Amino acid sequence: MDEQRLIARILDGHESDYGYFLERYGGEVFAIVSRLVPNREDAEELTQDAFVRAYSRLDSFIGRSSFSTWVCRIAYTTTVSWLRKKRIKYLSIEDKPNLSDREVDEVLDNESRLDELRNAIALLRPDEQMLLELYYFESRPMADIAYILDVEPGTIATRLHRIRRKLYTLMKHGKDNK
Amino acid sequence: MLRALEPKERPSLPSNFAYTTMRRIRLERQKSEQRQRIVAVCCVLAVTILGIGGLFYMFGATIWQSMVTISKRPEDLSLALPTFFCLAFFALLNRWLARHYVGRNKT
Repeated sequence: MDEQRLIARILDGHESDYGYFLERYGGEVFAIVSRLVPNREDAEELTQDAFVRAYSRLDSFIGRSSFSTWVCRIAYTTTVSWLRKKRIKYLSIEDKPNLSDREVDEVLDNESRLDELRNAIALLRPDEQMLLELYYFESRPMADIAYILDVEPGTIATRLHRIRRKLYTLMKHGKDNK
Repeated sequence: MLRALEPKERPSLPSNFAYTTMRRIRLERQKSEQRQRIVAVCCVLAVTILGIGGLFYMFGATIWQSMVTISKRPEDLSLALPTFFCLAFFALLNRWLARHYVGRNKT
Protein backbone atom coordinates (compact mmCIF):
# COMPACT_ATOMS: atom_id res chain seq x y z
CA MET A 1 0.00 0.00 0.00
CA ASP A 2 1.11 3.56 -0.74
CA GLU A 3 2.69 5.17 2.34
CA GLN A 4 0.59 8.31 2.06
CA ARG A 5 -2.56 6.18 2.07
CA LEU A 6 -1.24 4.20 5.03
CA ILE A 7 -0.73 7.44 6.94
CA ALA A 8 -4.30 8.47 6.12
CA ARG A 9 -5.47 5.11 7.53
CA ILE A 10 -3.45 5.63 10.73
CA LEU A 11 -4.94 9.10 11.14
CA ASP A 12 -8.34 7.52 10.65
CA GLY A 13 -7.80 5.41 13.77
CA HIS A 14 -5.88 2.33 12.53
CA GLU A 15 -3.08 2.92 15.01
CA SER A 16 -1.49 -0.52 14.61
CA ASP A 17 -0.61 0.24 10.95
CA TYR A 18 2.17 2.45 12.29
CA GLY A 19 4.09 -0.75 12.98
CA TYR A 20 4.92 -0.88 9.25
CA PHE A 21 6.95 2.35 9.53
CA LEU A 22 8.68 1.15 12.67
CA GLU A 23 9.75 -2.09 11.00
CA ARG A 24 10.76 -0.42 7.76
CA TYR A 25 12.60 2.68 8.94
CA GLY A 26 13.61 1.80 12.51
CA GLY A 27 17.07 0.62 11.47
CA GLU A 28 17.72 3.66 9.29
CA VAL A 29 16.79 6.09 12.05
CA PHE A 30 18.78 4.10 14.61
CA ALA A 31 21.88 4.28 12.37
CA ILE A 32 21.58 8.07 12.18
CA VAL A 33 21.06 8.47 15.93
CA SER A 34 23.93 6.05 16.69
CA ARG A 35 26.29 8.25 14.69
CA LEU A 36 25.78 11.06 17.21
CA VAL A 37 25.10 8.99 20.33
CA PRO A 38 27.48 6.04 20.63
CA ASN A 39 25.81 4.63 23.77
CA ARG A 40 23.43 1.93 22.53
CA GLU A 41 20.72 2.34 25.19
CA ASP A 42 20.57 6.11 24.72
CA ALA A 43 20.44 5.69 20.93
CA GLU A 44 17.55 3.19 21.23
CA GLU A 45 15.66 5.52 23.56
CA LEU A 46 16.16 8.47 21.21
CA THR A 47 15.06 6.40 18.20
CA GLN A 48 11.89 5.52 20.07
CA ASP A 49 11.37 9.17 21.07
CA ALA A 50 11.69 10.18 17.41
CA PHE A 51 9.05 7.68 16.28
CA VAL A 52 6.68 8.62 19.11
CA ARG A 53 7.11 12.30 18.22
CA ALA A 54 6.57 11.51 14.52
CA TYR A 55 3.36 9.65 15.40
CA SER A 56 2.01 12.56 17.43
CA ARG A 57 2.74 14.94 14.53
CA LEU A 58 1.58 12.61 11.79
CA ASP A 59 -1.26 14.97 10.83
CA SER A 60 1.34 17.62 9.93
CA PHE A 61 3.11 15.29 7.44
CA ILE A 62 2.13 16.72 4.09
CA GLY A 63 4.33 14.53 1.89
CA ARG A 64 6.79 17.29 0.96
CA SER A 65 9.49 14.67 1.49
CA SER A 66 9.39 10.89 1.89
CA PHE A 67 8.35 9.55 5.30
CA SER A 68 11.88 8.25 5.83
CA THR A 69 13.43 11.72 5.32
CA TRP A 70 10.79 13.30 7.52
CA VAL A 71 11.33 10.90 10.42
CA CYS A 72 15.13 11.25 10.04
CA ARG A 73 14.75 15.00 10.42
CA ILE A 74 12.72 14.50 13.60
CA ALA A 75 15.33 12.02 14.88
CA TYR A 76 18.12 14.49 14.12
CA THR A 77 16.44 17.41 15.96
CA THR A 78 15.51 15.14 18.89
CA THR A 79 19.11 13.94 19.17
CA VAL A 80 20.62 17.41 18.87
CA SER A 81 18.38 18.81 21.61
CA TRP A 82 19.23 15.78 23.80
CA LEU A 83 22.96 16.43 23.25
CA ARG A 84 22.42 20.10 24.06
CA LYS A 85 20.80 19.13 27.36
CA LYS A 86 23.77 16.88 28.12
CA ARG A 87 26.01 19.93 27.50
CA ILE A 88 28.52 17.98 25.44
CA LYS A 89 31.29 20.28 24.27
CA TYR A 90 32.52 20.21 20.66
CA LEU A 91 35.64 21.66 19.19
CA SER A 92 35.42 24.88 17.28
CA ILE A 93 38.28 25.27 14.83
CA GLU A 94 39.17 28.34 12.85
CA ASP A 95 39.16 27.81 9.10
CA LYS A 96 42.57 28.44 7.54
CA PRO A 97 42.05 30.39 4.32
CA ASN A 98 45.53 29.69 2.92
CA LEU A 99 44.99 25.91 2.92
CA SER A 100 45.05 24.31 -0.54
CA ASP A 101 42.61 21.53 -1.54
CA ARG A 102 45.55 19.34 -2.64
CA GLU A 103 47.02 19.47 0.88
CA VAL A 104 43.67 18.51 2.40
CA ASP A 105 43.13 15.64 -0.06
CA GLU A 106 46.60 14.27 0.59
CA VAL A 107 45.96 13.93 4.31
CA LEU A 108 42.34 12.77 4.08
CA ASP A 109 43.02 10.20 1.36
CA ASN A 110 45.91 8.57 3.17
CA GLU A 111 44.48 5.11 3.96
CA SER A 112 47.00 4.46 6.73
CA ARG A 113 45.36 7.21 8.79
CA LEU A 114 41.85 5.76 8.97
CA ASP A 115 41.82 5.61 12.77
CA GLU A 116 42.97 9.21 13.04
CA LEU A 117 40.22 10.21 10.64
CA ARG A 118 37.64 8.30 12.69
CA ASN A 119 38.79 10.06 15.87
CA ALA A 120 38.74 13.43 14.12
CA ILE A 121 35.15 12.87 12.94
CA ALA A 122 34.08 12.14 16.51
CA LEU A 123 35.30 15.62 17.49
CA LEU A 124 33.13 17.41 14.92
CA ARG A 125 29.88 19.16 15.82
CA PRO A 126 26.67 17.01 15.57
CA ASP A 127 25.47 18.76 12.39
CA GLU A 128 28.85 18.17 10.74
CA GLN A 129 28.95 14.50 11.76
CA MET A 130 25.40 14.09 10.49
CA LEU A 131 26.27 15.69 7.17
CA LEU A 132 29.15 13.23 6.68
CA GLU A 133 26.90 10.31 7.66
CA LEU A 134 24.15 11.30 5.24
CA TYR A 135 26.42 12.24 2.35
CA TYR A 136 29.22 9.66 2.47
CA PHE A 137 27.67 6.66 4.23
CA GLU A 138 23.98 6.87 3.38
CA SER A 139 24.52 8.52 -0.04
CA ARG A 140 21.34 10.53 0.31
CA PRO A 141 20.34 13.15 -2.28
CA MET A 142 21.36 16.74 -1.50
CA ALA A 143 17.72 17.83 -1.19
CA ASP A 144 17.05 15.19 1.49
CA ILE A 145 20.21 16.13 3.40
CA ALA A 146 19.23 19.80 3.32
CA TYR A 147 15.72 18.94 4.57
CA ILE A 148 16.98 16.75 7.43
CA LEU A 149 19.56 19.32 8.58
CA ASP A 150 17.22 22.25 7.89
CA VAL A 151 19.74 24.13 5.73
CA GLU A 152 19.69 25.54 2.19
CA PRO A 153 20.53 22.84 -0.41
CA GLY A 154 23.00 25.22 -2.05
CA THR A 155 25.15 25.36 1.08
CA ILE A 156 25.78 21.59 1.38
CA ALA A 157 28.82 21.53 -0.92
CA THR A 158 30.42 24.49 0.91
CA ARG A 159 29.76 22.85 4.27
CA LEU A 160 31.33 19.58 3.11
CA HIS A 161 34.35 21.48 1.86
CA ARG A 162 34.70 23.26 5.20
CA ILE A 163 34.36 19.98 7.11
CA ARG A 164 37.13 18.39 5.04
CA ARG A 165 39.42 21.30 5.90
CA LYS A 166 38.46 21.01 9.53
CA LEU A 167 39.27 17.29 9.50
CA TYR A 168 42.62 18.09 7.92
CA THR A 169 43.39 20.56 10.73
CA LEU A 170 42.37 18.04 13.38
CA MET A 171 44.45 15.26 11.84
CA LYS A 172 47.47 17.40 11.10
CA HIS A 173 47.65 19.34 14.33
CA GLY A 174 45.50 17.31 16.73
CA LYS A 175 42.98 18.56 19.27
CA ASP A 176 45.28 21.32 20.52
CA ASN A 177 44.75 23.40 17.40
CA LYS A 178 41.48 25.11 18.33
CA MET B 1 38.77 7.76 2.11
CA LEU B 2 35.78 9.03 4.07
CA ARG B 3 33.63 6.38 2.40
CA ALA B 4 36.03 3.72 3.69
CA LEU B 5 34.86 4.60 7.20
CA GLU B 6 31.33 3.44 6.47
CA PRO B 7 30.41 0.82 9.08
CA LYS B 8 30.44 -2.70 7.63
CA GLU B 9 27.29 -3.60 9.53
CA ARG B 10 24.48 -1.26 10.43
CA PRO B 11 23.67 -1.22 14.14
CA SER B 12 20.45 -3.17 14.60
CA LEU B 13 17.53 -2.50 16.89
CA PRO B 14 16.21 -5.16 19.30
CA SER B 15 13.56 -7.41 17.76
CA ASN B 16 10.83 -6.11 20.08
CA PHE B 17 11.45 -2.45 19.11
CA ALA B 18 8.20 -2.12 17.15
CA TYR B 19 6.19 -3.73 19.96
CA THR B 20 7.65 -1.53 22.74
CA THR B 21 7.28 1.61 20.63
CA MET B 22 3.64 0.84 19.83
CA ARG B 23 3.00 0.22 23.54
CA ARG B 24 4.59 3.57 24.37
CA ILE B 25 2.52 5.31 21.66
CA ARG B 26 -0.66 3.85 23.18
CA LEU B 27 0.34 5.00 26.65
CA GLU B 28 1.16 8.49 25.40
CA ARG B 29 -2.19 8.66 23.58
CA GLN B 30 -4.08 7.58 26.71
CA LYS B 31 -2.23 10.19 28.77
CA SER B 32 -2.98 12.93 26.26
CA GLU B 33 -6.68 11.90 26.12
CA GLN B 34 -6.79 12.02 29.92
CA ARG B 35 -5.25 15.50 29.87
CA GLN B 36 -7.73 16.66 27.23
CA ARG B 37 -10.62 15.26 29.27
CA ILE B 38 -9.45 17.09 32.40
CA VAL B 39 -9.03 20.34 30.45
CA ALA B 40 -12.52 19.91 28.93
CA VAL B 41 -14.12 19.28 32.35
CA CYS B 42 -12.31 22.30 33.80
CA CYS B 43 -13.47 24.48 30.90
CA VAL B 44 -17.10 23.33 31.25
CA LEU B 45 -16.98 23.96 35.01
CA ALA B 46 -15.41 27.39 34.57
CA VAL B 47 -17.92 28.43 31.91
CA THR B 48 -20.85 27.11 34.00
CA ILE B 49 -19.68 28.87 37.14
CA LEU B 50 -19.02 32.10 35.24
CA GLY B 51 -22.36 31.86 33.44
CA ILE B 52 -24.44 31.17 36.53
CA GLY B 53 -22.38 33.67 38.53
CA GLY B 54 -22.88 36.29 35.83
CA LEU B 55 -26.62 35.68 35.75
CA PHE B 56 -26.85 35.99 39.53
CA TYR B 57 -24.63 39.06 39.50
CA MET B 58 -26.87 40.82 36.98
CA PHE B 59 -30.33 39.48 37.82
CA GLY B 60 -29.72 38.02 41.31
CA ALA B 61 -32.46 39.97 43.04
CA THR B 62 -35.06 39.15 40.34
CA ILE B 63 -34.14 35.42 40.29
CA TRP B 64 -34.30 35.22 44.08
CA GLN B 65 -37.66 36.97 44.09
CA SER B 66 -39.05 34.55 41.47
CA MET B 67 -37.79 31.52 43.42
CA VAL B 68 -39.44 32.78 46.60
CA THR B 69 -42.72 33.36 44.68
CA ILE B 70 -42.62 29.86 43.08
CA SER B 71 -41.85 28.14 46.39
CA LYS B 72 -44.92 29.76 47.90
CA ARG B 73 -47.17 28.16 45.25
CA PRO B 74 -46.48 24.36 45.16
CA GLU B 75 -48.62 23.87 42.00
CA ASP B 76 -45.87 25.69 39.98
CA LEU B 77 -43.40 22.92 40.96
CA SER B 78 -45.40 20.25 39.06
CA LEU B 79 -43.04 20.55 36.05
CA ALA B 80 -39.87 19.96 38.10
CA LEU B 81 -40.17 16.16 38.38
CA PRO B 82 -40.78 15.44 34.63
CA THR B 83 -37.95 17.85 33.75
CA PHE B 84 -35.58 16.01 36.11
CA PHE B 85 -36.46 12.61 34.57
CA CYS B 86 -36.09 14.01 31.08
CA LEU B 87 -32.59 15.36 31.84
CA ALA B 88 -31.57 12.09 33.48
CA PHE B 89 -32.76 10.18 30.38
CA PHE B 90 -30.72 12.42 28.05
CA ALA B 91 -27.63 12.06 30.24
CA LEU B 92 -27.91 8.25 30.09
CA LEU B 93 -28.55 8.29 26.33
CA ASN B 94 -25.49 10.51 25.80
CA ARG B 95 -23.33 8.13 27.82
CA TRP B 96 -24.60 5.08 25.90
CA LEU B 97 -24.01 6.72 22.49
CA ALA B 98 -20.51 7.84 23.47
CA ARG B 99 -19.59 4.34 24.64
CA HIS B 100 -20.98 2.58 21.56
CA TYR B 101 -19.89 4.93 18.78
CA VAL B 102 -17.01 7.16 19.92
CA GLY B 103 -15.11 4.34 21.68
CA ARG B 104 -15.48 1.94 18.73
CA ASN B 105 -13.51 4.16 16.31
CA LYS B 106 -10.38 3.90 18.42
CA THR B 107 -8.43 0.80 17.44
